[in-house]
Amino acid sequence: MMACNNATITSTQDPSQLNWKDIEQKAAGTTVQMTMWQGDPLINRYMQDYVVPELKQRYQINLQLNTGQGNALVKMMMAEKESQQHTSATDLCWINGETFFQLRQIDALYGPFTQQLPNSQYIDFDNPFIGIDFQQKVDGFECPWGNVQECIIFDSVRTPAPPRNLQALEAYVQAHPGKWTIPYEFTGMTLLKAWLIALSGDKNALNGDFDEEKYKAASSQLWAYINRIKPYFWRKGETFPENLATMHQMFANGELDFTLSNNDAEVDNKILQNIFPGTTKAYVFETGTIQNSHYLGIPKLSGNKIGAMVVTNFMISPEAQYRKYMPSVWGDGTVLDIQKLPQDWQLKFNNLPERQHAPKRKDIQPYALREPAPEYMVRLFEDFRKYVIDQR
Amino acid sequence: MNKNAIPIGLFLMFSVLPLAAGLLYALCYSLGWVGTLNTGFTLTYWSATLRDGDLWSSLGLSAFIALCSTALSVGLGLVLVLGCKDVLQRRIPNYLLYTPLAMPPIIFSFWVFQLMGSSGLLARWLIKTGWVRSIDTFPALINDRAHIGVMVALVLSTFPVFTLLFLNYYQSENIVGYSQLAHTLGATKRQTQTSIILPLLLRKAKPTILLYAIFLFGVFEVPLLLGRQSPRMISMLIHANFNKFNLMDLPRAYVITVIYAVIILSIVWMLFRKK
Amino acid sequence: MKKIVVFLLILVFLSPFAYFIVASVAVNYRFPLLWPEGWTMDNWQQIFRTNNGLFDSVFTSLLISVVTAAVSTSAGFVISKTLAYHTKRSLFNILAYLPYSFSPVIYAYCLYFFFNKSQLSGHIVGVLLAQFILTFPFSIILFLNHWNTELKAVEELTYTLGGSVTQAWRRVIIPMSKSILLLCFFQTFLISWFEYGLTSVIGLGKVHTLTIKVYQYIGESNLGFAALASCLLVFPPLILLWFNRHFMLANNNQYA
Repeated sequence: MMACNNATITSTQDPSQLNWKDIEQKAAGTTVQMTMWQGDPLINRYMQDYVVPELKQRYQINLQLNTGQGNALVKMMMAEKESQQHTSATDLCWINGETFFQLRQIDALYGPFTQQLPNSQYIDFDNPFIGIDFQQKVDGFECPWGNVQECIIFDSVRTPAPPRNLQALEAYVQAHPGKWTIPYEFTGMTLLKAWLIALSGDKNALNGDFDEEKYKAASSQLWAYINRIKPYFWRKGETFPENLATMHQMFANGELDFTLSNNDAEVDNKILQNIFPGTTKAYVFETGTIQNSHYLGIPKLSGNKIGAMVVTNFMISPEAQYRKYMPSVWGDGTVLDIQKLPQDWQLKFNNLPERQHAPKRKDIQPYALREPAPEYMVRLFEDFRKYVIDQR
Repeated sequence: MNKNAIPIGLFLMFSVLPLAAGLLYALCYSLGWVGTLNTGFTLTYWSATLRDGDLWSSLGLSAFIALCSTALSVGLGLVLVLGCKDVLQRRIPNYLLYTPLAMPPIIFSFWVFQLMGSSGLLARWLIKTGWVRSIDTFPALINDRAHIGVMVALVLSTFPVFTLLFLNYYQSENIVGYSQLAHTLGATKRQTQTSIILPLLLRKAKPTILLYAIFLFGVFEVPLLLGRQSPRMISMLIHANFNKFNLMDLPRAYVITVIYAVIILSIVWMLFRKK
Repeated sequence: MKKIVVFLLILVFLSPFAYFIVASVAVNYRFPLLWPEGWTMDNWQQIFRTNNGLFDSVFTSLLISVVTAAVSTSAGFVISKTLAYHTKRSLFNILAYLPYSFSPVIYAYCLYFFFNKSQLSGHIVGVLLAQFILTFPFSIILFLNHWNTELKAVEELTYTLGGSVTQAWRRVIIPMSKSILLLCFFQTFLISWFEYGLTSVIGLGKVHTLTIKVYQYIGESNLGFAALASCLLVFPPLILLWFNRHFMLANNNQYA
């Protein structure tokens, strides 16, 4: 109750007029409601067992974690607008490009706020994979939090020579029917974006604004390709997993030969958790995979923007980023520019225990593709259902 | 003021008003009258949705699953009661029949998932005993084409209810008395069962059976975990349309909601009007 | 034959409970193992670490369910009396059946706008109100059949003998209705305790009831915790059942 009152008091303040000391002071004792994807136990544990208690201890901020992501977030904030609410149900959310785009579209995000965060000085905003989200400049309306590249995960004993392009994949699934599938959720759709780019013939083909012509040309090839090899998919391509954890489980059980991850370091943390066998490895197609960042955004209607800013600043601190980077914790790539960090932190980051099973970042960086405009994601989601799932 | 006005008003306010207001809002949204992205009255959402095969296959699937699961549950309940009424009235078996009432549908789904999934208990046992060679040859029993997983979960959760219901009617309707009467009048055991006990039980249970079919028609948690992406049960179709990326799909979600409401409410109205 | 029936009943009905217990204390319950490699109380001990949220969700669920059940039972009891003795009784009966037979999750999407508008979505109070809207028609339906001419006659006799309204309720009506009141309380408690769809929509993922937790753990493929949360969800009603099974059976919309 106290926290509630406090939050309403601070909401009347415009944080952009305050200096950081005041912001930290006013944030003390408030509650911050954070909405995030909660589909991975390690990520949840990092948040619950590290971020929450640290914030409580250092800033007396009570961080509440709630489930919700992507379209559900957009829908919620849109409903809040439609019902002309004064305060949003959430103060801070974990967002990705397509959500960022839609939230900006309905003008639901607060900002620019990132330049006020002291730790933002370390962020590598010049990196196009960090400073640009789905072809849209972040412009201070969301704060980079982690940077990852999509990888395909396989067992090096079971599959010594995994396919490295679409032709090879076709041959592979024909030889091993039932062992491959595409999850119908954002990881799977992100893979399809990389395929769309591959089919367009040029790494930069889909850069820039959404182009209906280009999309139509590439996607018709994509659906034709998938439908052609679909009979060799898991369950003959009649159904697709909708949840990555389930897909990981199926890979671990030997039901699938491959699983996917948007996080290039995930193999290590899954092996450490004993979920994947020790012979598991990850790789990328020679035509490339998407590298992107995930961000933290503050709703325009948040009742506690000040608290949300303090939380964000903590989450991009070298300490929190370092911890998140460790494969045993989460293995999420940092958005900080190591060169900009104080000496002792540079040393720590550079001496982080090597990735054991995941590919080295510098080896997959040449294959990194930029996220195309968000409409591609929206369209892939719809058309995958229309042209693949519903084609029974 | 009439002393009845307050209770009746409260009743209407908390049981009729929310439904009426919700449906009115859904109707207005589907016709383009409300909502930020709407521009004014239009029938496009209605005509597009009605022409869409998705809606009809969902309605058909939901009706199919509701009817099959209800029929199986009622059938199983009748067989159990007719076949081993005495056993079921003993303390332990009777308690066992009640235990499913302590499990919500989401737990039934989870259990069926763990039991019948491709790496579930059944698959593990069959592989261990050598009946099935590997995980690849184990048939799909959840998220499957025939919706077996969904129906198993629904039947597991409803058949004990019907069994208990029939057991209760056995006593309350003095079925034992009628049976003895029939027997003294020369009826065989089979005749007594088919022409006395069965009709009596079914007639008495009819409203409950229909009500369960209606509940199952709109069930959500079970297909959420065990269902398939295409076709989907009606609650899943509505849920998906409310959560799609394309914000222009919201009116469509409301169209389907109104159609579901019209179907359910008219069935309930006809069902209970006569009572 | 009879032994087979009992055996099958045990297998069908007790195995899920046994499985949840086993899975919640299992170590390395990997495919294709039929039996886990080892045992641990880790998951159970973690309940008491407050930042895990499971302990809190037991209280959230308990609070919501007790309040929903108490309010809908008492309101339903008092209000239904007027409805039952009214000439339009059968109309009221149908009107109560309409929302009651509606799929809770679809109902939630219909109500979503209003809960947002009144700033109730995402709050425990909003979930309480939404669940009340779900359980209230049920308690009306249950009590409508309870108010009969016999009860009415006894009540009137009390007045004839000089009793006041308060006395009639305290000494006659409530004692005569004790068992149905308990039945209604337990039934509405269970509807609320088991509710998932409506709670997830109106609660916006912020009101963490036990069912919401179970679903979250299932989504993570976190078998140990999903099984543990399932235990917490099913054992209280199971114990209740042992003491009095008659409170458990009524035609409630258990798919709520």
